[in-house]
Amino acid sequence: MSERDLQQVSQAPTRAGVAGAAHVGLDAAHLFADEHGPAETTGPRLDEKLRQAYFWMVNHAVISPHYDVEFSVPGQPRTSYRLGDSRAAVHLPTDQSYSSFVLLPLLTFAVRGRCLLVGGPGRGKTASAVLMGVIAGYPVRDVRRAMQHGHPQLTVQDMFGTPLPRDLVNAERLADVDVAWRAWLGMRVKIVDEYNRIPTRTQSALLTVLADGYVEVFDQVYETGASAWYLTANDDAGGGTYQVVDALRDRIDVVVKALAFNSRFVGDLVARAERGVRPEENVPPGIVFDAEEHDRLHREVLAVPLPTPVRRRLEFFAAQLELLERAGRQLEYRTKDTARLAGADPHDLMAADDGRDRRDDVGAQTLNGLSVRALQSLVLYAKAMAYFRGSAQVDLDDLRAVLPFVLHDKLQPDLDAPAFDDPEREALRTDRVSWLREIFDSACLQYDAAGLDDDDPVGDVLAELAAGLDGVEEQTVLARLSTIERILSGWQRVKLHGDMYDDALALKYAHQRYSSYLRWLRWEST
Amino acid sequence: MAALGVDVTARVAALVREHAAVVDPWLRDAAGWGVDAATARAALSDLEPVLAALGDDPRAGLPVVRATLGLAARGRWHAAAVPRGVVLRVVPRLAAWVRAWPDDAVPALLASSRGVARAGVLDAWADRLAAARVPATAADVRPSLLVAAWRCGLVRYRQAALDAALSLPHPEVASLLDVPAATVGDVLARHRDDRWWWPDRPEGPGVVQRIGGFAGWGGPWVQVPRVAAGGPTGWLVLVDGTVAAVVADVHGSALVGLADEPSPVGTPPTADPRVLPVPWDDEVTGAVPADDGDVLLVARAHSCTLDVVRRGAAA
Repeated sequence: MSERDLQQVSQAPTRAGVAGAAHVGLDAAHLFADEHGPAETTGPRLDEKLRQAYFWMVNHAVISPHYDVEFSVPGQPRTSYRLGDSRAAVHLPTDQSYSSFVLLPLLTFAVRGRCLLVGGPGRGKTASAVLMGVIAGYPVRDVRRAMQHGHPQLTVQDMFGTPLPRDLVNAERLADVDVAWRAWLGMRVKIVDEYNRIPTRTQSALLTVLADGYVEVFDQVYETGASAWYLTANDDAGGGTYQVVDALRDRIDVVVKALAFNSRFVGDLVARAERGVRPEENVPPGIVFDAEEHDRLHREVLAVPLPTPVRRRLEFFAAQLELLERAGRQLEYRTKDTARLAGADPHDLMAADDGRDRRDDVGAQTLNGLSVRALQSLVLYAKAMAYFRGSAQVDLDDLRAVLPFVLHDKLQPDLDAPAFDDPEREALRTDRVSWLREIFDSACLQYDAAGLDDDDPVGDVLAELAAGLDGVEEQTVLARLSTIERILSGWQRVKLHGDMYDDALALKYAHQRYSSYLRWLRWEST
Repeated sequence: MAALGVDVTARVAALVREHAAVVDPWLRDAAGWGVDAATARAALSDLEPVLAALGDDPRAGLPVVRATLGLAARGRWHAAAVPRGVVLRVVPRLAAWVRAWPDDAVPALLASSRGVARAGVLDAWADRLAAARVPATAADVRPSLLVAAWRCGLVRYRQAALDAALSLPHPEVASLLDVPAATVGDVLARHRDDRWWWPDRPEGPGVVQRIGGFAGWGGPWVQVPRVAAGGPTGWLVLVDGTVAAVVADVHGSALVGLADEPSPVGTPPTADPRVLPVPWDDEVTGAVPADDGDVLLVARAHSCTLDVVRRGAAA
């Protein structure tokens, strides 16, 4: 393979037939659909360009022959084969499937999120991050120079900028000290290698940049702007020289594992060594995104709609995770968060909660619930997944595909939970991606079993409220209050589950809104 | 040749040098897609015989150069790429078309060629176009390509092609369809009513179209197909774990995979092969009548091919 071969970009369209429904009759528009005159062409659509970048990476840059992000065409179930004593399943997906190790960093680039690449040394984590910098249009030399290497002596000033020595001597106030900011802070792609080797104080400063997009040294503030972050760590469990602070860990949107090298592809390694050509130095210009395209890419991803049925399933899943009945007395405080803040072990409190089927209850398998940030990341990456696949809106499959990588470090499994005692589920103690996918699937099954798409009285109440109270008459308000009370009354003799807990709080909120409005109506009429 | 410093010989070099102001923006655009000088030179060098066939007419040659650079920019200028084959093999055969309407014919040929090539009829299509009259106006180029594609077997374009044929002068349509000019109106009208009728085709009972086939012999299927009524065309084929709608007429057939499996309308009746006017002796596993015309889609127990059979009076 030569340098020219390395510059080969997959032919467009990389995902044929993304428009969906089959047309039996075709017309001239279909026959000439392949048309594009070179002069009129301003470049491929950005989702197409993103897919071309993906396929260039998997074909030429990163040897990752894994298709762990699986999709199947509706109505065409995948074929599966069972291997070995453990009946390990080989699934053959019926739709275009992807390697998470390449896909998730690209989605991170699209949404300008924060991606943690984990795995043993030499698995291509740093190389992937560097490729992202080159795809953003930076010369490979600049990307390498801008990369921050974590080490135990790394100070805040080393990382972000140094005050000018002349000012340190002459300045009478801190505001007079000019800081020489490091160039990498202004780049659209930022790479921090081995972030778990950064000392705790510097981690805290890094946290501010990650979360809020600014850095402060000697009272001087530098706004870094929106950018895609790539952090690498050799130890998935957060080890290394320093423990990663929880807040920093929570700021990371997705965690991607570098999967083991497939020995059948040693030949590719040999070829690469023989030709002596580095992929990152031969990125085709056709897959490079300039600043304007990067902005547009982000905007287009955000514009992908999340339909209500998909959002409802996400709400239902998230609702299962937070409830801990015995953590408090007042309804609002019966959460795992209450227990954690009090220093109690949620597992012990869950164990004392008799009468609940702790094997089927998704919430009984986790030690915490989902933060708002985690939910935001989920929605953002689900949109990016749909955009990448050329879909007009987010499907449940898109959400399901990204969920394990977004929640990987955010949802802590309760490994002592009875659900893990089942020998069939033993492997889920260590395979967190599969575990997260399984509990999401379980929640979706429960959602479907409850028929919430067709019968959602709480949803109806909230929809009525969302329509606004302007001009709503007293009789209507009284009827709606009565509906809320009737729903709550109907729940008195059933087991409290996570979704019901959130629904009860939502009904309480609606009741308050209507009650206040009713008082105001009556005051106005007198 | 400024932008990439490309140096090609003879005809191409002369053309490009003479029209450098026109070609340079195309070269710069190609360079923006990562095309280096060697790639551009190699692609343009391939055009020598094409330009010769076009009679060294710069009006005809420049759109070919432009298309070639565009294909090279998108990685489609390699031995296996269909558009490259169209430029090198089809364009010279249609030199009269390209000389008459260079700015319309070259992009239209390239745009439509992938769909035609997928159906495996690129050569037949080129033959038919080469034998047809050159369109009288630029606006006739695309309808002509569409009509020729349908006549070569791209049955999914049937309705669009029949409509397009109405917009073309009768002599042009006649040459594309290979029927006498005086009968064009009658032929199209009668075929529109009965998709299994065509001049000089037998109108009696018998097999009028064969669909599918065993993968080992170039067909699409590994298993023996079954048929059912339903779907958008009334004919469904269930084979190899997939469901497809069967689209066919006297000129060709196509299978349209259906993502959502439609419910077959009842069990397909099995016809007695003794009353079917067919040249085979086999067990019929299903025979579905067409919505229009007196034909059946017949599946057999020992064949990967489906037959469209016109029934006789006795059947």
